[in-house]
Amino acid sequence: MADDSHPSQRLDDTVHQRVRLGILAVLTEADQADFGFLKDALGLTDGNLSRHLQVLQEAGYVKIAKTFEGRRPRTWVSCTKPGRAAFSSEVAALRELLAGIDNGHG
Amino acid sequence: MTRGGTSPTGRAPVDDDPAATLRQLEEVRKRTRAGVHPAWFPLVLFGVLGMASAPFCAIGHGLGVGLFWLVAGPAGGIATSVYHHRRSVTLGAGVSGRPYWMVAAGIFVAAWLAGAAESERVQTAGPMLAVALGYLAFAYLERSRPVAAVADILALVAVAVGATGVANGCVILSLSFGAAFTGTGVMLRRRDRG
Repeated sequence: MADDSHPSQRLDDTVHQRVRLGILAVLTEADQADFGFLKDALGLTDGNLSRHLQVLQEAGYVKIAKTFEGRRPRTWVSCTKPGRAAFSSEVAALRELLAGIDNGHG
Repeated sequence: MTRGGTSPTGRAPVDDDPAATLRQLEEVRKRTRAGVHPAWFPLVLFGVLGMASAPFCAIGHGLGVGLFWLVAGPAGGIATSVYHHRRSVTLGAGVSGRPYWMVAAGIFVAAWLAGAAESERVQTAGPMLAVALGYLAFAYLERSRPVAAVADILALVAVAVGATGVANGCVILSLSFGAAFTGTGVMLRRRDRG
């Protein structure tokens, strides 16, 4: 059934947040990224990144795996299939919103 | 990224400029891609191997070059996997090698089948056409326009060599493919180093 709702209705609150969008943007290009890479790529503090990763993990959009390299702990993050789908839907809705604005339908 | 007001549910900030958000997302994706997709290494490695395979064209009507790649192909693939794994551990980000191995296997099978064809022109040009098409697939995985452009040109070269039946076609193709991939790899390496 076609979705006739306004694109803004299809924005996912979990994904539609600038840090979480940024996290998913990185993870759709890299199959996995560690905590440090995400922090540097997005310019975040440890606490800020942790909080947003937790939200995404609870929504089932990312998987988090903790490993050790020797004695050094490492946290690897990857995007799940629902996470990729949610990100794609979000980008599609944003593009539709933009097309609507460009066409003067706001 | 731009900040806006809160959503009607009060749950999350809403960015009220979709154009800016999309631009910023694309920028993040582009920077990530540049970091985790170092296409230069396999291009240079397989480019050099390609040029090194040229002398084997004279052995056994193409069987020599086929056997060369039976050894060099998997060895090059393993070296590339090791390079990418070590890089992903150092960088803290990486991509799965599975799609690349699948493309490589496809190239291998198609090239060997073409090499076993009855027509001498297909034997000469078919394997290299398989390689060119395989590199188009790699270009898609890497989101690399330079690699796609080079693969397109080399596909045309392979077809032209096959169609004209030019003498020493195997040597011409091995050297031209090898030089083109090596040159592209070197160019990408210089570009990535800024």
